[in-house]
Amino acid sequence: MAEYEFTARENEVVGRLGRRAKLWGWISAIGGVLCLFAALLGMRLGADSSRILLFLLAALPQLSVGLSFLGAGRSLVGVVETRGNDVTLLMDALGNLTVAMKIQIAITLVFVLLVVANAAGVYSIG
Amino acid sequence: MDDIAGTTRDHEFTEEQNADLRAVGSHAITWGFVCVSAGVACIGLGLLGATGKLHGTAWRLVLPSGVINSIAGVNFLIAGRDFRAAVHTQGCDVRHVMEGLTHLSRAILVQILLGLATIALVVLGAQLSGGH
Repeated sequence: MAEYEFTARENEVVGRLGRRAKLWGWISAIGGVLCLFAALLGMRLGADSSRILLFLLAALPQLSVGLSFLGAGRSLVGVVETRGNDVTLLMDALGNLTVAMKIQIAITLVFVLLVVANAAGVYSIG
Repeated sequence: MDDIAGTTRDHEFTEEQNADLRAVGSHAITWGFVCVSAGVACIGLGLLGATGKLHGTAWRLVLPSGVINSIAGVNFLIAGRDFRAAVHTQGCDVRHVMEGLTHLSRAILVQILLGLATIALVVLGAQLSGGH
């Protein structure tokens, strides 16, 4: 069965989201790499281990969010550039966006828990 | 204007596709609530700082970041509602999905601006602390 083909106007909406998702993916991924670099630099300079752990914990989810948004952006741009698989590619992109949002939600929850635990004196950073 | 109400053709999504749309809609709504809650908390702290009830000048950064977070959150909430509408309604699926994508696009743009502003502030802060 032939799939639904998006119109030029619809492709414009999908393409815009694709470009923005890719840009956000790059920003997140670069942020993750910088955190990883900071952790490695901290290890080399003998920094406090809790700070190194904090940078490592920040780097992995940032990289995951970045890669998910990059994947979503690539699929969305694919919707615009290809013919015949528009709905399938859009669903792939939405799946990647769902994963990215799940990770963002999880990071925030962990961050809130860490802040609450820090405030309650369960542990101390630095 | 991003409204795409002029769409004439339509397509009904399958059950499997509706499940994907439901998932992205639910997560967009959850993330929207998180952003709005964080935004409102920042605005509250910012207002306390602005009125002198909290010490320091951090409120000058906290207040605008709260407003920006709230704007992103509202767009995520609206996008989630649009995706859910595509699942629950018959006959306007593509229009609802396009409206959802438009709001998601705006929300991501706001996140990008907030991310870039944060990076700029971190770099500026590092330079200032390095200078002392």
